Amino acid sequence: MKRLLYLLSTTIGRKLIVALTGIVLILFVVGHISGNLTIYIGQSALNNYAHFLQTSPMLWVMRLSMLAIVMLHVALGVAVTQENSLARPESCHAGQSWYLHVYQRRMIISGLVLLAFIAVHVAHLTLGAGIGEVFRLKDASGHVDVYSRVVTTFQNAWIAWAYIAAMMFLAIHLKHTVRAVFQTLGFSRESYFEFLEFLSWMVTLAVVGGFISIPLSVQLGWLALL
Amino acid sequence: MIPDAHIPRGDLGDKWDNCLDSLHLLSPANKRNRSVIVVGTGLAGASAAATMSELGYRVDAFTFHDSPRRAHSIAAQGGINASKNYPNDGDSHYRLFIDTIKGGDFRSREANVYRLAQISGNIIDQCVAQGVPFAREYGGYLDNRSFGGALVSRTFYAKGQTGQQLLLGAYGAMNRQIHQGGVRLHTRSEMLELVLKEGRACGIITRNLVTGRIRRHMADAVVLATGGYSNIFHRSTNAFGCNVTAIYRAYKRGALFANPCFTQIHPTCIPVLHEHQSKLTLMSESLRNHGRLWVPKQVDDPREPRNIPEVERDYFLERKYPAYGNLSPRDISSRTVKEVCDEGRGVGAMKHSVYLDFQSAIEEHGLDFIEQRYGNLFDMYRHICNEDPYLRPMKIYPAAHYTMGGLWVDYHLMSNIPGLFVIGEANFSDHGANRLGASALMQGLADGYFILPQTIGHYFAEADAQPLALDDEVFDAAEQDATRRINRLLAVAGGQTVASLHRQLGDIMWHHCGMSRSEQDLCSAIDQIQELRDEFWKSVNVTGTSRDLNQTLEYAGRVADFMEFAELMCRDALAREESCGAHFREEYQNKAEARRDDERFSHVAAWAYRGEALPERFEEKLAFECARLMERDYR
Amino acid sequence: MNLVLRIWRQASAEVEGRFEDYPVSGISTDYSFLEVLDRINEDLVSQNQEPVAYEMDCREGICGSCSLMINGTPHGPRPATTTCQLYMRHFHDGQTITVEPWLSRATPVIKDLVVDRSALDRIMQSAGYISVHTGEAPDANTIPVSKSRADKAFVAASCIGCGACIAACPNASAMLFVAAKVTHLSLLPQGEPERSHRVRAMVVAMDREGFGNCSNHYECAKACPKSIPVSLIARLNREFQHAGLLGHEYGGPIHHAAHEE
Repeated sequence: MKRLLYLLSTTIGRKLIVALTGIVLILFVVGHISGNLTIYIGQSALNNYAHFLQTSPMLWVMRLSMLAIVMLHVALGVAVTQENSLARPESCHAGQSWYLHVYQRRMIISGLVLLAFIAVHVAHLTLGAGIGEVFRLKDASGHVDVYSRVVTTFQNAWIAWAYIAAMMFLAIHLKHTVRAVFQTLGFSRESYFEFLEFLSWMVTLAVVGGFISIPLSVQLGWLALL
Repeated sequence: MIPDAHIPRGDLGDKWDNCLDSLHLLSPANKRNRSVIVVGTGLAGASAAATMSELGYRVDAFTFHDSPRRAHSIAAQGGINASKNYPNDGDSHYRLFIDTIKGGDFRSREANVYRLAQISGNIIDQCVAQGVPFAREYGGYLDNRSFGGALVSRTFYAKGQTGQQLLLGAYGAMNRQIHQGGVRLHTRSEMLELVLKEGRACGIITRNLVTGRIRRHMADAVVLATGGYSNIFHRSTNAFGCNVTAIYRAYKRGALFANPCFTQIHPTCIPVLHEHQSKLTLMSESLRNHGRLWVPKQVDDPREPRNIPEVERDYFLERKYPAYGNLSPRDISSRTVKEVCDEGRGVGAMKHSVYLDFQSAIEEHGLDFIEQRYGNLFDMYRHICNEDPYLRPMKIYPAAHYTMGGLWVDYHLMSNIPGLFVIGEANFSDHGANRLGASALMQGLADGYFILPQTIGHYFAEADAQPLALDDEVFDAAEQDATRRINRLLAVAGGQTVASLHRQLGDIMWHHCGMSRSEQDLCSAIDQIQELRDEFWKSVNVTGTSRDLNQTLEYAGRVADFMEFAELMCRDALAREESCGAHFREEYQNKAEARRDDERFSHVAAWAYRGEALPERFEEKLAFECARLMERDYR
Repeated sequence: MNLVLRIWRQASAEVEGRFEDYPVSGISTDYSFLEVLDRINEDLVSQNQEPVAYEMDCREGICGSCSLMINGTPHGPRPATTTCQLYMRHFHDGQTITVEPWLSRATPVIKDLVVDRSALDRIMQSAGYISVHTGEAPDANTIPVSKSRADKAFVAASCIGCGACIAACPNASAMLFVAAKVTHLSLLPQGEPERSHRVRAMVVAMDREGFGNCSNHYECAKACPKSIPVSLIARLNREFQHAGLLGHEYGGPIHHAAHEE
């Protein structure tokens, strides 16, 4: 504990914790998308998977620890960003373009957008805010009909495109993250850079592509209510 | 009068040990009561400050830079000599000693040079322990190379950045002492005056370059490690800030200035491409290992170098010095380059460079070999000159590089002013009339790490601490002098920039007191310098005030001292009626070869300031007991 | 060439600064960037105006004094080049070139283009050395060091401490500088005994100066005139985590000396 507090008192230590919580979050989104993709197997596959999760005795442990990890990640991310803006008060050089300025701040921007998205997303598809009747549907085996919930929701073009837009921010965030995590944890050499860059793109494309594919498929009519 | 040089008794090899044995020691408690001011934080200054603090003295270190690691020692490229004999090629203290004495053309003290050779190995040990990443062989042991025409490989190096790495080592050692509180570092502080009390050095006056504040500092001894004065030539390989001010101020307070005319001109530098060029960049001497120097035989030959056939090329060093050829020592090479340019056969836009050609080396050894060996130097040349040295031969010209002259010191590195010590390039001691490659780093660190910290204790043990306060009248007077000079500079408000006056001074010195000198030239130079100096004080324009960062004022102060010192340099060159080392007098030569006059000039010339009157010249006889006086013959 | 230099002028840290345009004509492409500034300054002095204050010394790319933000890039557009070795042939005729100081909280302006970089020295003073008294050292060849290790240490040691990495970093982080210094000494066997203490002390010193964090943009390495690789930052992270989590010296006090001037 003493050592953890010591780490928290230094910039490198704080960044280490941002990176470690980041890894958990990456693993979470990878798990999340893997589960979501069962939607393509069929209604019962997704609903069974959801049932398995919801009835798991670990459900609340997982939910609370994810909440804690997100909070820690965000809190330290915001703190680090604040330190950074303090360190460079005159943030923009005359010779520097505005888009470079925005680009260099993409992590905090995309991070805050994602935080807002997570709040909305949890309220929306997990707690059922604004969904109405569909939220209470059950399927043939008596499981909660998550499949219909998802498809009905994404049949609304506004919601579908809002989710897709949010996933673009996830893409921005993830793309930076993968290589950065290795750097921050100290596993980085010049000779790894190309591979890590490749890995960054792969993880980003796989995760974000998977997430986007669902609202897109619904909009294109590939996924429909049965 | 020159005081006794305190050369210890005994055989040459025993002198340093005998000296150490005879030094008076201070108790640890007494060391803590003694304070030292070190001006300059290059290799010599930083190593001395660190080591003296380790011994327990209270040290105040001063640099006019923002950080000690900006000192110009950092730019030394080639390497550092040491007689370790790791390559087993027959090197010894004696050989390093004799090479250095001979390289200096028998104008340095035997005892000092032998001590330098003895200490050289300890320097390498010390630097390696500090983490200096010297070049190594695959087995993990230190690599050596032969440098500057030496017949043995004794040069330790860290790529082309040896000076940087050594300085970072000394800087680290000093940082450790700063951290522990033994050294107080004063950055952006320029020394303007030396303060004496009853004939002993007791403090300095500095100007804080940011606030303009004039401050007094007192100590039991003052060490000057302020480097050389090659910038008197305006363009040189030195950094912009390098100046003579600290040692010249000390000279005006009574310190003897020894051999001021011994200035080294380095043969392989990138030539002047345009009139406003500010810097002459050194190209490593190692290029001459495979490059061949030539000029067209015909005056004003307009052809491209590649179109000039072999028979119409003059490989002048190979022709004149067949034994050493392109590897002839620095002074000889530089002078020969100047000769052929003076004949009108120089090449390049301003007609004063010569070709350094790698074509035959590429043909003989292959492009890969040359690229591997000199690739980074070729890149540097291409970057600066925008020409590809693989396609067109390089153009090079000599440039002022190092000053062997400096304040006179005895064997203890103390000047004739008790309590004033001078180390590194700022003193005159070890290089005689010409310095060999890779010797400057060695001398700076020998002085700073191993010699001064020992000998200064002897001074403290002999001289009682003087009671003194910063409001003593000697400080009042010195501060007034410093302030008066600043105000005088600001008051001129004439029509010429400092840079243009400096340029004019540089021209006079380069043409009259550079690589080759004559009575007529030197006399005319003295007249011109006096005129220019009057002009300086009538027409220099120093803008701004003295109360903040004013780089023009700093520069003006340094150039003002150059204006006075230049005359001393010429007078020394005039009085030395012989040719030796880097000092070449046209009247004293045998068929274009330097003619040394050991009968009349086997001595150190030390000059004393005499106010309005001409400076007075003293001689310290040089006795050679071990080294046999011989003519330097590289033919 | 004819050019306009738009230069940041600021009389002192206490007053507001502003840009001023300085046209300069008849520049040869062989001029270095600093020689153009010299020309402008000579012209200014001739008109009895105060010249532009800027730092430089060796003019051969090794002392690390020169420090200009040229068109938004530290040391200008050419990679692996210091301002003093930047030549005008890399600009085009008629160009307006913006010249700014390297501003950050830890490196405040002193005057015009001169900033105070003493924070870097204070980091070095905290532990950037190997503790060896003069005279203690064993023979230089006592400990062999593999060539590859020595060469890597050299790459790190070639840092000239100019601060371009900090200027380039959107967060004004000094991680590349500290990484270079820590790596240099930690790779060598001579630096091993103090390895753990050194990295902790230097990171704490860095934090005290108010530099930002590394957020992995790697602008620092692109701006570095000595091409110090960004992988050294990973090494610094590793060194620090190792020392902080596993280092047996954990808990030892880290002293900071008081500094004058």
